[in-house]
Amino acid sequence: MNTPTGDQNGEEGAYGAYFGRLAALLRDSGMPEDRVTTLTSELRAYAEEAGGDVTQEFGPAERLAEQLCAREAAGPSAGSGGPQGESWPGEAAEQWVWTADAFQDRPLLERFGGEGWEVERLDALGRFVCRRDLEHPMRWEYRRETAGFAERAARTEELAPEGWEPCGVWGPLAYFKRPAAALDGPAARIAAPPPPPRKRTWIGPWVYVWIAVSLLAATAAIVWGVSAADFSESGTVPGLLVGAAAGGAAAWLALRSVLRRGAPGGE
Amino acid sequence: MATDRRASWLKGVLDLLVLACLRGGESYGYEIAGRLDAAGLGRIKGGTLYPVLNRLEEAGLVKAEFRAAERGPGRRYYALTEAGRTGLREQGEAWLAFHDAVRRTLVGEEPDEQPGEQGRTPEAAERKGGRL
Repeated sequence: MNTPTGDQNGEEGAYGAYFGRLAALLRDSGMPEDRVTTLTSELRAYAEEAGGDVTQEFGPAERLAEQLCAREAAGPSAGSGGPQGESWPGEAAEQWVWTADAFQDRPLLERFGGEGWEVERLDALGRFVCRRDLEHPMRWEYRRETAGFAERAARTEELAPEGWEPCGVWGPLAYFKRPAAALDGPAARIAAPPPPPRKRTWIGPWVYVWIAVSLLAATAAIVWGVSAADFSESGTVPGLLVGAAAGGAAAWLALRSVLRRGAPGGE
Repeated sequence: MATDRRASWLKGVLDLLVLACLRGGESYGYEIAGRLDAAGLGRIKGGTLYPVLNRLEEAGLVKAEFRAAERGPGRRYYALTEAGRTGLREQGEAWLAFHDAVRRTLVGEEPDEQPGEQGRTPEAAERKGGRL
């Protein structure tokens, strides 16, 4: 999930130096410590997800500190509306990152979309990176489609006239978003959105159990196979490769089948 | 840098551009975004477009009507109101005057070299190949 607050400020390297300097500047300007921690950890999480040169991304720490202080003065908890200058009209926005397993993500997307969270993207770990406009939060709708790479472009094109835009891909799952205003107009605006949930991870315990069992089974199979195989036989290695490919394909099809059964309308 | 600057320019004129897209008749969000894209202004995302449409609707410059479709959830269609047409004409003229001042400054023309350009209307600009 999102980078835990504060616990990375002591890390060495460019990020540590930059955000350490930023935190010191914010403190010097009189910003409360908890707000300093929240802002720097959120920005750091963003920078780490984006990768690259943090100074190039955010500009000099001094200038960023000035901007953050100005936004704080304009409104409490106003975060960065988007370091890439993309996020208007509201500009002032808060960010939140969360994750869930594939059996909980859709109801949670519906819930958080109703609270004004717009999924900007899925990061490399499959987490939903969200923003919410602080001035004019509005409801969002989501849908999940199971589509391979080849099908995804066609599905995106089919859904676009209804206002759906792609907002992230995770394996065979493609996520789409749509402002509720596309159907509801100004009624999609939220008067008083609830604060961001403290919880950021919704992964069922059985998922961990399933992963552990799978890893154990795979390890046992490999150990047994290697010890029992006769590699002097010319057919052993090709047979091994064919078996692995067939097993992988079967697992992929099984996963697709499970996910398709849970897919929303149209599938 | 160039992208940031274009976004900044667009921000100042997007409401006018949306109104201009409705000059020829009613339309809906996806179609409006498509027209802006085809005009070379880039693909405007829903999170940017719909708040603008909401503001225009609440200001009485456009009227909106939801219509159910045979397939899918239906669409919200927008059309210019009389106030919207007036606003487009007046604000379009103001924008074009500003645009001309910027252009003259950038190319180094004297302000009085093209006096006729100052008060041109969106319709006149359209005849000359302008956007409004």
